[in-house]
Amino acid sequence: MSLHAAGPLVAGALLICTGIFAAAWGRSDARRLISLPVLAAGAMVSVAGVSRFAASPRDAATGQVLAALVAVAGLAASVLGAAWARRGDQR
Amino acid sequence: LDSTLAIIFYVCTGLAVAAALAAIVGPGAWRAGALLIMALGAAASVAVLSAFLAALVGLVSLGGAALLVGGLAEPGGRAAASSPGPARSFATAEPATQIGAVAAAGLLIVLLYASARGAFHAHPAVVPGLNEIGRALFGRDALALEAVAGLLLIAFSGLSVTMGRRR
Repeated sequence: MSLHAAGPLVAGALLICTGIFAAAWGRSDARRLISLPVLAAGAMVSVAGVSRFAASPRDAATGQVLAALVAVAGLAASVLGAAWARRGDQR
Repeated sequence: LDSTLAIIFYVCTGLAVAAALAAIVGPGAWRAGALLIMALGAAASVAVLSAFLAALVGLVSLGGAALLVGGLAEPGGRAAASSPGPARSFATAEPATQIGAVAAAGLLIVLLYASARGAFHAHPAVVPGLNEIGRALFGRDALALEAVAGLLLIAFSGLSVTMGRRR
């Protein structure tokens, strides 16, 4: 049993599908916002997997930085979403 | 990667998916903890892929996002227990929604089969790097990418209009 390129991509796709499920299933803004970190986690795993198994080794650092950037983007989107949800509750 | 790392990767990914599902369908008190476990599992999966910087940044960022999102209060204390289950939601949905759900399930099965048994799995060494993917998407397949982007824009616009009408 070994890990190939398909493994991280399938794992990332599973996390992204779970994030979309959270966005569709949630009955409130708080529940739907769960999708943001889950989607970011799925994208991060996919990008890191592509970087790890890339044909050209020069992409390794680029993929790592892109994966980190995706995670930070997920945090930024969550901050915006949480602020939006709290503002909606106050109204 | 050897088999031990592969097993660790799949266990971490499974933990992340299970924790995310627990945060989605479980009680509100579980949400922050389950999302933290999801962030830990995803970061560990990335660390197994030798991307330690991304794993560290991901753990901090996704952990922060988990605490932020998990700490939000639900209006009226509505819990998942009060929501109808998947079977009842499917039975009472509109025909277009039912067709979409069946199509999504079929697409998931096809994608899982393609990833497990298709040519993509049989030739893992031909997976290109990020530069090649970028050249393919924005150069060779630019028209197809724009078509998909337009389709997604129309789909999400329709979704937002439909949800706005329901509210």
